[in-house]
Parts: sequence; C-alpha cells; structure tokens
Amino acid sequence: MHEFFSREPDPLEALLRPHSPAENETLRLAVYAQSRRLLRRRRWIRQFAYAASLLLSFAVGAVVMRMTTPTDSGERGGGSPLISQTDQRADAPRSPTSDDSAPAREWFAFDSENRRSELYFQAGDQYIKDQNDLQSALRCYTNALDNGTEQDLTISSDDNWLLMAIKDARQKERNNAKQGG
Amino acid sequence: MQAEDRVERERELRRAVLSGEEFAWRTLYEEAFDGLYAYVLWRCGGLRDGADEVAQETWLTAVRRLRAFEPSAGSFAAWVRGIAANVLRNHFRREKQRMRHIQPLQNEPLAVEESREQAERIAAALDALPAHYEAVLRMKYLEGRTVADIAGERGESLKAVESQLSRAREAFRQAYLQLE
Repeated sequence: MHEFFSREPDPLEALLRPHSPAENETLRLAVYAQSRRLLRRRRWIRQFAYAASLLLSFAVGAVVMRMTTPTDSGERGGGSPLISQTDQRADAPRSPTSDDSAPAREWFAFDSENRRSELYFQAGDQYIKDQNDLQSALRCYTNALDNGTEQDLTISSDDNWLLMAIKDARQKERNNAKQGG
Repeated sequence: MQAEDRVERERELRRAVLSGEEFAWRTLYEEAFDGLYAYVLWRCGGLRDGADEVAQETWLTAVRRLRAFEPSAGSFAAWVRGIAANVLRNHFRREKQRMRHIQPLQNEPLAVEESREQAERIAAALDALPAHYEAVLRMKYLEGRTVADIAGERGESLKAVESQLSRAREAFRQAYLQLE
C-alpha cells in the first residue's frame, strides 16, 4: 500500500491539494495577447467580408444596369445615355445643318454671338415650315429683330406673313414713338 | 450576484466580444484566468510546463468557440473549464504516446524525477476518473469547499455527497495505485 493512503484522516489531501500558481503573470499576459490577436483577426475578416460583399453588390448592380440599358450608338451618338440629343447640340460649338430641327436651330442661335439674329430668323422659318408652330416662330422672330440691325426691320418680299406683320408693327411702333417724342 | 444577473451580464459580454470589443474579452479573461489556471495545474498534478501549454490552448480554443458559449447553461468559468477538460484529455493522450518513445533523462536528480513521476501519476489518475467523480474531488480539494456547501449547490443531501466523495476517493486511489 502506498504511503499516502495510510495516513488519516484524509489520505488524499497530500496528493490532491491545490498547487500554488506562483508567478503566472507572464503566461497571463502572453495568452491574453495571443487571444486578442485572434479576436482582432476575426474582426478584420468580418470587416473585410462586409466590404467585399458591398463591393460585390455594387459590381453586380453595375453589370445588371449595363445589361439592361439600351446601347443604340446611332441614336445616342455613343455618348452618355443621360444627355439628350438636343442638349448635346446645344453644347456643341458647331454650325447648324439642314438636318437640324427647329429647336436645335433655336439653341444654336441662343449660343451664337456673331450670327444670333440670322440663326433666330432661320429657326423661326423652320418652326413654321416643319411644325406650323406660330408661337415658337413669333418668339424666334422677336429675338431675331431684338438682336438685329435697323435693316432687318425692312420688309422684304421673301418674308412670310408673320415676319412681315411683326416688322410692320415694329416700324409703326417706332414711328409713333418718334411722333410722340 | 444573482443567477439572472450573472446570465444577463455574461450574455452582454459575449455579445460585445463577438462584435469585436476587446475590453469585454479582457473582462471575461481576467475574471476566469486564475481559477482556470489553478484547475489546469491541479489536473496536471502540479506540472507547470504541461499546465502552461494546456492553459494556452484552452484560452485560444475559448476565443475561437465563444459563439457556442450559452450563459444560461452555466457560467463562463465553468464553460472554459469544460474546454480545459477536453484539452487535458487530448494532452494526456499525446503525452502517453510520446512517453512510449522517449526514455526519461538519465542525468535528472532522483528527487526531481520521483516528484515528476508522482505528478504524472496524479494527473493520469484524475484523467482516468469519470467526470462526476472528478467534479466532486475538484470542489472538495481544489476549491476547498465543505460537504455542506457542495450538497447545497447540487441540491443533494449531505449523506449523498459524502458517499459520492468516498467513492470518488476510492476510484482515484485505485487509478493511482494501478499506475505505480
């Protein structure tokens, strides 16, 4: 029989008594540092996964949008789908062509510095010709005369009835003003 | 602290640790470290090198598996002790395999060698015990609790606890002597 079991009253006391933990501060700090590194790594992984999922969602959204947006280059001219044809023309510093619509010509006139009066006349003519839009034509002719010279007020045989009427009214207005003054 | 308060507090700390807050982990760690180390050292028969290794592995396992900790099922200290018991089981299995292939150091002083052998036998005998015997011996010898205290916590009679303690002692004695 082993000596420890011959003692009384409790033979296991000597074998099972707790051991003094003594100095374990180094172990405590070292293990804590290791466990904290694990925690941080897990947090970084979680944050990275979150960022990656956001990025993935954005990429998927962009691909879906690209696939569902029509890309007719002839109609859009290869530019941004959010910019209309009219806006592109208004921004473009070029001369109007015979294919340009009346609103496009009006924008050219608006942007032009040297040929503003002439281009307004053309836009007014085209509003009547293409759309019979008298209100827009009246606006363009008025702008043309406002930006034109004295000579532009002279009625010509090439003028249409609307332009003749506006010029006539302007001349009368001017004469009245002279007589009144 | 009331049981409900303890559960609520540990649940909050667990949530904070899982969301990455280090102070919460530090709180849990500092509160449980000494108790866990004393347990591991006791189970290792006082062998400090083995205890250090087991304690380290236990804490790293705990931080990895914290999501599995459920405060309503038991305290954090008890949960970590459960992890330590598993780590100890694996540790002793590895040690047993290692000792088959390694001869003891010839130049070690006899007293040191005997002391180490005794510590290893204690550790092996504790490892061989069923969990409920190990638990009652732990409460009695490691935690220094009285039979009445143990009976109160378990909701058992004094006589039942004394009887279990007696059987646990005998089981330990048998296991220890078999290893001689």
